[in-house]
Amino acid sequence: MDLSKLKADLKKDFNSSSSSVDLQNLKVKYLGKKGKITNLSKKLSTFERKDRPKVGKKINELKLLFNELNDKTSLKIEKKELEIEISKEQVDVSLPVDTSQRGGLHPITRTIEKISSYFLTKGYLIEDGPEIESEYYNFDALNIPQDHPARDMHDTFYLSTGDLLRTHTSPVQIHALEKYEMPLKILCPGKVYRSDSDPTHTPMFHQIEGLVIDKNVNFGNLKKELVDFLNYFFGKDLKVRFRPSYFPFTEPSAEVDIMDQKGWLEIMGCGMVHPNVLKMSGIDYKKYSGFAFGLGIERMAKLDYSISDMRILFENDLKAISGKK
Amino acid sequence: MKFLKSHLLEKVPMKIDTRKLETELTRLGLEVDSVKKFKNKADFVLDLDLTPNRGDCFSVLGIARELAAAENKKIKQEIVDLKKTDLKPKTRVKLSAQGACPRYSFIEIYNFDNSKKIPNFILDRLEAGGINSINPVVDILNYVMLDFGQPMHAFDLDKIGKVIDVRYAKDKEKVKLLDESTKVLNKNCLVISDENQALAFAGIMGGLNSSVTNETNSIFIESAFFTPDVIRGKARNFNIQTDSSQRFERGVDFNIQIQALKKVTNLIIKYLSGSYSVISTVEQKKHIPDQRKITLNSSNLRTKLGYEIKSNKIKKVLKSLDLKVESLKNNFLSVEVSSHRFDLKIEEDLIEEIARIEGYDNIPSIDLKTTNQQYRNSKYLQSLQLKKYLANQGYQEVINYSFINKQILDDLDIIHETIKIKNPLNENLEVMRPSLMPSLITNLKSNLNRGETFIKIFEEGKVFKLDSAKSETNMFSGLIFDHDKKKNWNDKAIFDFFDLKKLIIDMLGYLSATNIKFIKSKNVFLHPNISLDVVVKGKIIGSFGRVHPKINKNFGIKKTFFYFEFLTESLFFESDIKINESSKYPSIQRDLSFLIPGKIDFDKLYELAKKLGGSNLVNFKLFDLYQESEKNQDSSYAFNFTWQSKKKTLEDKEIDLIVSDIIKGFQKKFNAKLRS
Repeated sequence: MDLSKLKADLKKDFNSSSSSVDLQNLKVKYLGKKGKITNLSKKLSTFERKDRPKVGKKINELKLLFNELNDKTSLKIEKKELEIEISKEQVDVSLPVDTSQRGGLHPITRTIEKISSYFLTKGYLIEDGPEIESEYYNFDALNIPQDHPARDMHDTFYLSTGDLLRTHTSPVQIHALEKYEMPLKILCPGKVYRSDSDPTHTPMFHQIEGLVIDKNVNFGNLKKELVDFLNYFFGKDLKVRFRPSYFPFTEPSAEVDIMDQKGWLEIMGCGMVHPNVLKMSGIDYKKYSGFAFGLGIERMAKLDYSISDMRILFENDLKAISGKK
Repeated sequence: MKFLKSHLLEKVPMKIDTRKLETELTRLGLEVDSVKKFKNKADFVLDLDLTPNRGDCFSVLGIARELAAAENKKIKQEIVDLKKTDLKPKTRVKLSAQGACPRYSFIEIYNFDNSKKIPNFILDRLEAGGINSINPVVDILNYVMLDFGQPMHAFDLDKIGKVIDVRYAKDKEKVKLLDESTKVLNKNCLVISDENQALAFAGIMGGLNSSVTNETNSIFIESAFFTPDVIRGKARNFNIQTDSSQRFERGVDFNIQIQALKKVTNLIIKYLSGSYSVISTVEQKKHIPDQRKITLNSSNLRTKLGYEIKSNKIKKVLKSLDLKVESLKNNFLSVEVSSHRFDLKIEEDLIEEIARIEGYDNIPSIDLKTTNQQYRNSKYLQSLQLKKYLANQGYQEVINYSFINKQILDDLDIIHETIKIKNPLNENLEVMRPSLMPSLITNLKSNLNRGETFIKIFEEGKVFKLDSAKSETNMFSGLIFDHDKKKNWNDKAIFDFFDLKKLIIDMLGYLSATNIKFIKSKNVFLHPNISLDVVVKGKIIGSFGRVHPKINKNFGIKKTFFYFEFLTESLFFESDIKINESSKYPSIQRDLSFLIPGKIDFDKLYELAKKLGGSNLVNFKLFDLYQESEKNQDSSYAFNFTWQSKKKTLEDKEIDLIVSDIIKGFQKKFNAKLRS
């Protein structure tokens, strides 16, 4: 047997193989039970003893060569075969998919979340309160006695049960003062109701109320807390103005304005909790002080989503509230 | 409160740009709502949006005081003096109502000419103030009110009796007012009457019968101090709002009555001529408010505001506000409140005054150092998580009014006693919703009208019931309508009951719910045969299914749709998920197909398979189902079973035994035939 011919055949065979089936066949042809290299090994004993190591070495070299060529060729073939397979798998990826059912949260929920997530990181507790309230919680306990002119500002809905629909989220302050030990730090988002309807007012709307009670809480703290929040909400350093105002349940009281393109824009109300409010809820007002603030969610949503008519928010036209075109 | 810029600056002589004036007043807490040019003159009308505590600023004098304090100017004092007269008034006044009218001053003016012209500056100031011109006398009275803040009323002297009585009305006593309306009063209403009848609704509006006309030539003028509490709320209760009631209910300076009368009389005599009586005053001295004294501790001021203001500065500010200040020991000041400041009652009120005049802008921003609330499991966050889950499943959140039209409840066949609104905005908003269904079905209809064919919505909100102990409950409900015939090319399936069932089970799983059971639902909104209730620990926490056909009919919705509702708070589960290691041993699978006659609930088949499958049965799947719609036809079920042990490799032999038990069991219990 001519070893060098075998070597040349081997190289030729691998060069001309083009599929994994070809490779399989070559394995049989050379290394199978009756393969050419196998046969050669079987014949080793027919050589003279002194030649055997030399021939054995040659056979080994052939085996190594086979493996080397096999590895190299199979890599090439696998790559080629994968390319063929890929070229057969054609999909028109420009075909449309259904995106009509993108769900979403209501703009009011999104605005409440944006505000709440800030105050949650500041350690506020999110509180919920009843929407049906008594005169006591909605007015009296907030230092708004019967016939007080401030009640005129709250076009109240009265119920057949003798109660009323809360006109602001401030009653939650009173429930919290009664329920928890001081110090206290709460935030209350919720629905409120006033008998009013026009493009800028809906008979139901949302407010967020904040209340902080501790020892040594001052007006400077209130300013810092709210300015920080407003900068967060609008994502920039705002020009903020605190101007004196009046709420029966805070003293001193302030309205907070921010400067936008058109000038000063009223954004929220706040103040130091009135001692009468603390007194009525049984809090030692000499030991504790605090501040409260409240803001209208619709107003914030309006700024964030450029809504022109507030009533759209509660008509629930799916295209409108999902913001889809 | 509207007034002319020139009128204000007459009292505080200074030059100030209108824009600057606007900013200054707003900075003081007197919010300027608008500034408009007055006619073609070089003057401006300022409209202030006053807070209810500042009754004193319902006069140009009051606003002038504020401006002077802030600008460090002096008010031009007006000396009003009346020449002496010997004429005694013909009318006598008595104050029968105790405490309601602590001070009542009056004067009579005779033989003036009410057809003469009064000067334009008065008419302009009234017009700018939004006060209609009536006749010269009334105009002069209104002008002095605008100027000093004291509402006054003139009675035609020829139309009233000899004795004027300030008394409470009799029950159901009638009075015909200037606006020609007749009010039926009650015992809490204060009236001005003569011997015969009520002449005026005190402090609110005069009566028609005794009113001053163009022909009137002699009058009785009332300039009184009414206790704010007595006037408060009355105008609102009787649905009238007047310049007078607005001022009296907020509090009028209790020392200005005579001044105002003098000014009025001078103007009448000057422009309309005539003669006058002396001014008489009747008082209930003990009911006249005290000149209140408040103690101010300047260290409290620092605690409240967060910064120090020097005591000299404090005194200066308080004095600029017409308050008398006296230094006491240590850091204490005694402050006497002037008679026009009804709003100053406690130390905090004074602190606000100082902060206000100093400017809120000068208060420094200081970091808040407080104890954070301890972590409490927040319902807010849990409900937000739930909303986000549904939003990610393609559901749009909606928010509806809590009040609805009553008719819709009849259409839904709801029999709850509802909570009604006594003063609804309109009939569509007259009852509190006892369920979220009325709102969602309204949304469905309006969106169908807009041409939508695939609607998936949900809402979280309170529902209100009269007949339950807790009148308001948070609910979480959703509605799905899918009759989209033109779905995207790769999606042909229409939403059905089992899509809803999957949604609910996945949602409950996401919320870590355990021990959930489903039972046939009795929810009145749902189709009795295509619905389920969700039960946790023996309590129904929600329902879902196809909406009852009667609702389709009542609402004119021809096509089927689906609904679910849950008690929001029952959806918040304590998570008790434990992470278990999975089995290291191989699993064995077998498929079995049965023909089963009649209609048998899958639940029953599942129970038996589970029982016979033993503890190593880890998965049981129905992978094919063929059901005939007719009753007694066979149904064909194909099940896939998977067994796996955590302790050992299972052998075919033991599984074969179990499989043969299952086949026998199905044959015996369901008359099932094994298909080859």
